[in-house]
Amino acid sequence: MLICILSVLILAFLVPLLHRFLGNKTAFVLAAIPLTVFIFFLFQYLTNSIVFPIKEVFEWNPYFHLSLSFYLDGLSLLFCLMISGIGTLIYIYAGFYMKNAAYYSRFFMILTLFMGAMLGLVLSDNWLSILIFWEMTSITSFLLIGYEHEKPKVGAAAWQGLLVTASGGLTLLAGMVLMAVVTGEYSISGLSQYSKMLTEHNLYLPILLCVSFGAFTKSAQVPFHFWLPNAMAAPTPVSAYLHSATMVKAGIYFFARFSPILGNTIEWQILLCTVGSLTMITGAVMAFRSDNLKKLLAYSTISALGIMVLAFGIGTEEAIYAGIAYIIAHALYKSSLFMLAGIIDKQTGTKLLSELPGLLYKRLPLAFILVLIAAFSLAGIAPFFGFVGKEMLFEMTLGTPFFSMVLTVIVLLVGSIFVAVLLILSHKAFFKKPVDDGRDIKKVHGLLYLAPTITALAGLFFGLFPDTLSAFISQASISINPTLAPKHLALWHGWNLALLLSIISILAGVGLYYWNTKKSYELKSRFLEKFTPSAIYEYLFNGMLRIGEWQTRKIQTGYLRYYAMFTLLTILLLTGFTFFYKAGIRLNTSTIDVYFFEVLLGLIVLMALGFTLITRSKIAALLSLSIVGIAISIIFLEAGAPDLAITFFLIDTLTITIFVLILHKLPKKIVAKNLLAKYRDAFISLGIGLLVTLILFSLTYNPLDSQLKTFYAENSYSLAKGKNIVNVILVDFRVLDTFGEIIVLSVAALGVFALVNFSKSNKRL
Amino acid sequence: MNSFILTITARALVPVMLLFSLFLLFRGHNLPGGGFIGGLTAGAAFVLHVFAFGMKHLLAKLPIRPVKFIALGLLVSFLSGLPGLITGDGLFKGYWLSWDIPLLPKLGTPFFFDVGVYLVVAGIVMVIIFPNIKEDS
Repeated sequence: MLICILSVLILAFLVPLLHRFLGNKTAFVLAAIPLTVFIFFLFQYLTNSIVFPIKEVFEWNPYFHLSLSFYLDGLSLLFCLMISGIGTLIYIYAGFYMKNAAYYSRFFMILTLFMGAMLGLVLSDNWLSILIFWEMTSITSFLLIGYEHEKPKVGAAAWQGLLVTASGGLTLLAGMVLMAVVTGEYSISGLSQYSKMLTEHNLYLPILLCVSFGAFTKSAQVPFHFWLPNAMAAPTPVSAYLHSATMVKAGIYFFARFSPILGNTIEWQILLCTVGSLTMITGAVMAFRSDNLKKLLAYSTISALGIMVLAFGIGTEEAIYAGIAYIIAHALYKSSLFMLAGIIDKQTGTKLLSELPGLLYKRLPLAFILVLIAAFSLAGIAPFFGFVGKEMLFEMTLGTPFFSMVLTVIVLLVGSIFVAVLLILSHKAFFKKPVDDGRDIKKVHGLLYLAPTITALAGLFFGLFPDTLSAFISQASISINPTLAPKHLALWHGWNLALLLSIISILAGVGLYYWNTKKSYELKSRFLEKFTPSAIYEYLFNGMLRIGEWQTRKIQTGYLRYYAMFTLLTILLLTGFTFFYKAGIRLNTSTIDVYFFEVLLGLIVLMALGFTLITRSKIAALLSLSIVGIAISIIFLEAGAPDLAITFFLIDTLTITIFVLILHKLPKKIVAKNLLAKYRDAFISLGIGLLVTLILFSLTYNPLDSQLKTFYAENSYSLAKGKNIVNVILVDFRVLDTFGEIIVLSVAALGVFALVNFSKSNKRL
Repeated sequence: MNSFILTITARALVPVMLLFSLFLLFRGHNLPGGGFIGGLTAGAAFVLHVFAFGMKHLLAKLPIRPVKFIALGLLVSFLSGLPGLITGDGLFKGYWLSWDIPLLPKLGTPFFFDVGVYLVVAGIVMVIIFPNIKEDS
């Protein structure tokens, strides 16, 4: 499994190189990657499914619970097959779709990276690595949505997607940390044994909220759904792959994964069922109102994701089977619909339903038939796989122990709207009145149709022979709840209530379509628009920028003296508060010995400081300040720290040199300040001085009794062959610290170098 | 700067300072000194040289650019940590030669680490101070 993920990620970085040799054929060569992965996992399923779950652990840092561990069971297998199977088709489709695109190699590189991340996400067992893969999918999604980054609207959509899903990633992190705090377990597979402990713990509600918030943002649930329609700014292959078949299902994957751990409580059921139902209805209504083909599909995706969340929220046996079956059905029909929308866009030049040319069914017959097949599956009409899924959904809601009627009505309503959406996609799009506006249908490569044909026909095949998927779906469901009995899927369930409900939904859908066909699409009420989630997102986004600007203006003034003032003031207030509040002043005069020459040095320092304060010449102030430095190094020398004394002396010398060199860049005269500023500065300086003195007194209150000192003194020569303890500590005992420090110093020096040379062409150094 | 006194002094002082910086580096393991102090001294010597003879003169004499001192120093320090990683005793494990070489201190990986620190610090002093020196020419 590690090899799978790793090879995908490595190959991703080879894409630009491949593109140089293969040109537009790169995508078809790349399609071999997901195909190999697909065959690998299919092989695993066919040969090893008895020994599931398969675990692979690579210990790295056990102390921090950092290990690369992977976990293959029915559920992750389902997602892996979906990611790699649909991935293969998307590569073929994108190979034609993105032909001669401006950033061809970049596009495929990021797409491949995404695929690797997604595989990692569903296979990882350690939640730390899950989080990393989770963020990787967010970032690659950001880059793919922002593919046409020259357009400002596209950039905004990409940011929106990233900010919403990344904030979800943060709460997911919080939830995972809480779970680890409660159980001490870092692997998902190990968490299920703590299920009882977690669900009865005081922190259960925060954990549940954090984890589901993360999954809700990723799966575009209400009220975070608004990023998904905007993400349709991405090229169509991306919409088909990321934003319908795979990435948005990562949240669903999480709910499936966590339902044996956190599920089956009232909180879980209320939260997931409410959000899921709201999302179903919102998505379906918005899909029905959309004019843009891709947005329509995006909203119907949101609705379908809501259905899946509802299924895992209910969590009964039927619900789990229905959820899994619906994931497969949705992946098949939605990816083909997206790909077909892309083809229609390519051939007619528009994505808007209202602008499509007339009598399209005659001009694009193949597209029409494929849309019909896929949309029938969407609407849940026999004999397509969507029908099987929908029947299972009705069985699920009818068997729900709570609010069975309400949930059934909601599913019925959404089902009817889906039927209306089918009519929009087929009747409204393809049977418009012929208008002779002289627009021609552009020709595309015939093989562009290959990928949507395969997915659409797969939907038909699984609809006719649903039993072929029975073992597979059972395998996935068992990994959610091991006590489930294997289920046999069938197209024909006999005359029952579910079938009756299906028929009602079809009739209602047809009625809805004809009743509403003449209504306008725009959201009329201006007042309501202010309270849509996307408007609230805008307020928050702009507000955050404004606060950031204000804060930068106030704190980062560009004047060195204010930077110094803010830094010192912060130290004074925070350290002072902590010191007085937590420690308090402790003074032990008996440990303080004062020698005559120290008094003398102190007097010299005071005189030098006084002169620094009153002098009007900068160079005089500088030189008298250097006296302070020299005095301090003499104190170090006297206290028996020659290394420190030498270092301090050298640093002081070099600092003064730098000051002299840049003196001409400072204002000529020392700036005269008003009285208030003088008092303020005096307060800060004296405060800092006093605080440090008091802290030092408190520190020396008890004589230092450190075993470190004796350890170093005893072992310095025997272990490290050096007599200078300071140096031995620096280059041997604590060498890693020193190494880190010289790296920091180097980076700081390079920063100074870059800043000072910014305006010059001084590249000689 | 065209000061005769400065030029003559620098001609005598710079080599002495550089030698002294090496002396500090070499004795560092047993007596006050070490890579950091040595590097600062060496940096000061180069700065004095630039004051007396100008930047071009120094850059012509230096085998590598000052920025590369930092890079080279980091590389040497890092390499001194690798033997321990290869033998499995852990990164930066100290190894010492068992015999002595005249004029040089006892050789071992910690000493080479100190040499790296020396180079880094000398480079940093130059990189920070040199851009601020305004030349008359």
